[in-house]
Amino acid sequence: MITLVSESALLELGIMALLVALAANVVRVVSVRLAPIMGRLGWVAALIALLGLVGTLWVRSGEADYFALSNMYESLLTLAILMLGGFLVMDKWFGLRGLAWPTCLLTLATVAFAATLPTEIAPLQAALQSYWRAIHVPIIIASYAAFALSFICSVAYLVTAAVQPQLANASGSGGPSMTVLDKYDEVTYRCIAVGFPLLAIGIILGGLWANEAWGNYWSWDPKESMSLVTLLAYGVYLHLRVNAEHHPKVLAWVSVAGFAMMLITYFGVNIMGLGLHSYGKIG
Amino acid sequence: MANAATLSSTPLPSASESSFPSEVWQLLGVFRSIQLAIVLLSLLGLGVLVGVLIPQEGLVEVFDIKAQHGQWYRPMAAAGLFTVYSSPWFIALQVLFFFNLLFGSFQWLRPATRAAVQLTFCGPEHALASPHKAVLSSASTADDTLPLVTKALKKRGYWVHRRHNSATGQTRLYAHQWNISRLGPVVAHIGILLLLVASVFGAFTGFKGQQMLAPGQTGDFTALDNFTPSMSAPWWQGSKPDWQMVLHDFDIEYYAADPTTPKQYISDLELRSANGKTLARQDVSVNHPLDYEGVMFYQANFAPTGKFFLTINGEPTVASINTKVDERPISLLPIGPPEARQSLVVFPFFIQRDEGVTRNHVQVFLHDGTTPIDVGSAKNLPPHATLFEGEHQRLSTRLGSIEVGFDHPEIATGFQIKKAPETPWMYTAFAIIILGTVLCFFSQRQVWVAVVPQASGSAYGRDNATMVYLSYKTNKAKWSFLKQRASLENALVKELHATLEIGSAELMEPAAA
Repeated sequence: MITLVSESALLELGIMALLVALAANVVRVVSVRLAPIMGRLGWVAALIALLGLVGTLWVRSGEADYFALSNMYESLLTLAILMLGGFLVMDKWFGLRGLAWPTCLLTLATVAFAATLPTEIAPLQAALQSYWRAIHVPIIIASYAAFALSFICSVAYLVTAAVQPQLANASGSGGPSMTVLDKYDEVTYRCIAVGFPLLAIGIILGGLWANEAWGNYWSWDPKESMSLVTLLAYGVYLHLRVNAEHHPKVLAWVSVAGFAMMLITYFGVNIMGLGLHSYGKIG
Repeated sequence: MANAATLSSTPLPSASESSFPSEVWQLLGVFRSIQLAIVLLSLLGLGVLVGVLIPQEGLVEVFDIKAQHGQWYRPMAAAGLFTVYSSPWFIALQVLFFFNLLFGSFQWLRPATRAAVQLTFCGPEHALASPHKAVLSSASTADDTLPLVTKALKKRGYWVHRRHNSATGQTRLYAHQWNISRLGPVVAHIGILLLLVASVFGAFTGFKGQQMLAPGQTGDFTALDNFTPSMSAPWWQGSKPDWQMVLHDFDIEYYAADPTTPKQYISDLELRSANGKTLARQDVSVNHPLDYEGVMFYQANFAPTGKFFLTINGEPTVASINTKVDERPISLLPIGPPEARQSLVVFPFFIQRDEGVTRNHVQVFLHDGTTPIDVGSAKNLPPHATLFEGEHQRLSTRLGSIEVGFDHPEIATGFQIKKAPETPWMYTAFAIIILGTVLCFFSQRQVWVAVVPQASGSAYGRDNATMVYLSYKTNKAKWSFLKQRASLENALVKELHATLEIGSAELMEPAAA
């Protein structure tokens, strides 16, 4: 496929735009005077970063002649895209501009980490040559993106509650009064309410794929097992939420713990290099 | 107030509501609590985490586990820490989880279904008692007010039901959105239960086994390796298929651009009936199993058989592994006149076995029978050795006066063979779980409205007004609901030319985000 722009040029565009978005959103927080213009600049830069990253994977898919989601580099770029895209949507719905800079920072860190990994386009192993790859992997990565956003909101909740204890006392009382903490709590919940079904569906579809490829739904492979731990952790979150007596602060900590489990699932198992999911090797 | 119980919160069924005797139901209370669910989910999570962090038998050799843990091996093994997923405590947790799900789900089934389908209508008293309420006084008549309120609710995605009481002149509306999502958790739980039941059913009625076959070889179901007819061995031993499995060919395809990466493993497999009739024949490869009458044949693995196809001075010859040097299996093939005491040494390296080897290959060299055999390594060949790489390259070399041609090593293919009668139930369970979890995502919202024509002397200071009492309820997204409530009330104030006597908007603190 002949492409007008190279993959690396698009990746650089994405990183530069992310840097601009991060700077603009930081300035927006510290300077009241510049806030409106910086807010707009941050949004536009984030959008350009998104296009740059999508373009990177698009061009790569063309060069590789397969859907470029087969190793850690590609999955991190996909995560960055879904995280940033998801945030832009959430921002439109909920007005979360205050969380734009941590999101840009996390996205930038994800892309920077991806850029340190081997980027060669390698042929696909036999097990990965299946239409299931284009279904199972993006759904799982989408759930990770939702959990990353829930993590940002939970940390925002915990930090804001620590800095402004009067807000923390008012939130979660069940009364009619609502504060920004209630918003963070709700967005955390909303993100988990998106991520949980996605992870459940992703795991199920992975089971179907495994059954088709190897004749086993479940092998207690470390990656499978850790993804189950992550699902159970967020399952605890959702069940705690049904029990309305729990304070949002407890829920925020459970959400942070769930994210830690997700990180072990995503990176930890690959670092240990165990099991059937060794495609996403690091380094 | 008739609807108070429904409105305050969805009630748990009382002992008298259940079909169990009350003592039994109370005893089961331990199993059905959500607190137990939270504890069990956490413990199961911790158990699986232990299984990930501590090397498990099957994934790691027992010998390595023993070496790694030394004196701690015995107590840790006794605690099932190296076989977490089959340890009694993990299975006990799963059994508890099953009963928690069973009783927990069914206690919610009835109230959740009732709450999802029941229509409830409330009057002004309920609105005034609710913490989430709004009261508007409108100069319009009740007849003009009703369509506008209904339209405003429908515009926001609500299903609106109406009930009129001609005696009081009051009209009550019940508006709801995504009420069906109340069934989400129950549906998801039923899916998990079905999954557990289906896997137990499969364990009793299916079988699983492995079969290694070299090209040209025939196998049958009587000699499957690791045959697991589950817990019902006697049932299955007698009913295993009597088919023959004939492997015509096995091939490993490599990428042209990267000859070190296998692209696909392909087995040409034929199934024959006991009387030799062909039942099915297919190229089985990874992701493309053969399915015959519900018995699946998966391409699982491959392994060299220890046979090598060679030519010696043009004569086809088969060398087989027949001895060991330095604990390494090699083939020693006497060659030439006996007095020369010469042997051809064929020494295979395999990807799976030898460190640093990226491709199966074979080294051959002549040995004079007097000095010890030195097989070296893949990277450090003994003197005069010739390395043949690949399986199908038909290379040849001259060793002294002998022309040795190397055709290929014999590779056997490994099939995973499985009969899983539970598969349709597993798929159904998966579909139900997906449906349930997706339903859970939506947040149900309810709005009760009472439109009351007001006589003179109104409590809210406007005579001959129509009073609109609204009360709200949601279970999850309270912040978004508050925003919607404010928007609804603002729209009603505008369209009805009404005054907001009590409303949500004024209760909102400015958001600082």
